[in-house]
Amino acid sequence: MIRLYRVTRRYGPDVTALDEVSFEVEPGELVFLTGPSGAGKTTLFRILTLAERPDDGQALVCGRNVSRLERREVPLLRRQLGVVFQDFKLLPRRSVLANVGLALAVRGVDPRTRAERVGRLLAALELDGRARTPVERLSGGEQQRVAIARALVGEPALLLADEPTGSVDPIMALDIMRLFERANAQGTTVLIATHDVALARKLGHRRVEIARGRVRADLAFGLRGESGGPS
Amino acid sequence: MKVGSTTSTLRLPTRDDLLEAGRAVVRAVRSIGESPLLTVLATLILSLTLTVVGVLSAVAVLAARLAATATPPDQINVYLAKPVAGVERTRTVAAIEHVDGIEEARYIGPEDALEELAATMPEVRGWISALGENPLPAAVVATVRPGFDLSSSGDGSVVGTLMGVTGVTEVQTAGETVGHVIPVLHSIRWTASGVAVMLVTAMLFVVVATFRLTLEPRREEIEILRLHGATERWVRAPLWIEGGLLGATTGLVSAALAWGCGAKLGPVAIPALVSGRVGGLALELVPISVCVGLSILGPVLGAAGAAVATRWGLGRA
Repeated sequence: MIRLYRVTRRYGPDVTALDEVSFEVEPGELVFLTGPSGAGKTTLFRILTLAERPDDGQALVCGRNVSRLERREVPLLRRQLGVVFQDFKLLPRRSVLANVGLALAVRGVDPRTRAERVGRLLAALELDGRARTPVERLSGGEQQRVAIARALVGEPALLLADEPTGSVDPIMALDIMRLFERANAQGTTVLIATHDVALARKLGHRRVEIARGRVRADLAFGLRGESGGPS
Repeated sequence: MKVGSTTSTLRLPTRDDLLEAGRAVVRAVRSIGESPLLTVLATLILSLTLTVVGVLSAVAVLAARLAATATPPDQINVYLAKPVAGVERTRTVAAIEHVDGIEEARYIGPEDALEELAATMPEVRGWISALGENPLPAAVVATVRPGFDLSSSGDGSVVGTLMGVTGVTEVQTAGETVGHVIPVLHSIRWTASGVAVMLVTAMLFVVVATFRLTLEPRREEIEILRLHGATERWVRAPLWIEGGLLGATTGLVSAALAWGCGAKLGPVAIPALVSGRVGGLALELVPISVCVGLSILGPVLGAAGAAVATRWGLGRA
């Protein structure tokens, strides 16, 4: 589902955000990408969401080389992704319904089907009572769940989440992770970037550790030991 | 996983295309509704500018029509030193009719001249009564014989002969008058057209600048749409439609204003148009063709401005 081979991203001559990062995520996997702030997780996410292109190396997402993708192909590939952004990227004045429905609207799903699918998902996330509320009136945790709902509503092949538990308490964080596990159980490949190593370890999935733009460790199923790393 | 084909070919719109277009219109209307004040202000400013463009276009059209129809009529005005009556009048008219090329002559005294003038400019009567006396000269209107070429036979000689008639002070051929008027009409036409074109160009810049301003707050929203897989057409189409709708409103308002200007202000500004006729030519200050033109120009300008603004202001995904 994801194949990174010596992916390098530089910002000017002095800043190397990603330095020959290589790892793979197979279809149906749930993988944590851990590392401290500034490790390069967000840059990697920007490459995977096609917001940036690598300077060197190859990044394959859903079988497509993002460096060689034509501009008109970008939206079509993005529709196969569900993304939870670190800063949520919600439309504050729009309702929960509009924000979540947006992911379906851009795919051309008709309003009735959209409303049904969004309604079901909001009910599952206990947000159905807030469907008509503008997002700016929600708490941080609720906004987080709206962002997750928007990422899930399109039933994506690949779900990317950048620090999805960054603004919620530990109990809510665990609940959110269970949501991702549920999506993964239904066949969605999930990659979650988090600095919360303890939480990732607790859930016991494969964890790719990144620091200073390089892969430091690839730990399968919560077991300690180098099984990958830069190659 | 394979990404769907992106090959685009010319084809008839499908039901889905029409549905998508309909939704784009709905999104555009919603977007207009989100900033009503800016919409009203922009519409007002652009409508007024487009009205000026319409009036200028009408002036250019009018001048062109007048210039095209202003062929020298078969008429010579022979002005007399003083009003004449009785035998003297008969003798003067006969002397003028006797000149080679003149078919008939008709005496017009100052009072008759005033009546004719007042028929097209009623206010003249008031002005002249304010003066206390009628300053209009007595004249004889001579009609040139059909087929007689005043220019080839030597306009000067006919004028010279007429000048030799007792009591005549000035001879004015219509060709002389028209010869002076046509270049003025052409100047008016080209100046009005030039200013109208400049105003339309300026309007396009104003539309582009205004649209770029309105794009700024939406930039983040557009970025989010793109990140979720919105195509460029999906993102931009509502903006173009929004520009087109605003432009259409502007066009209709300005067409109505221009028509109103023509109907209400025209007769005040140009008294000759009171009767709706000048020199046998039916006139209207703002013709319906100009109003239709404004109604078309509005949406074209709006959509073009929005397209340029989105191209410059939004960049690419």
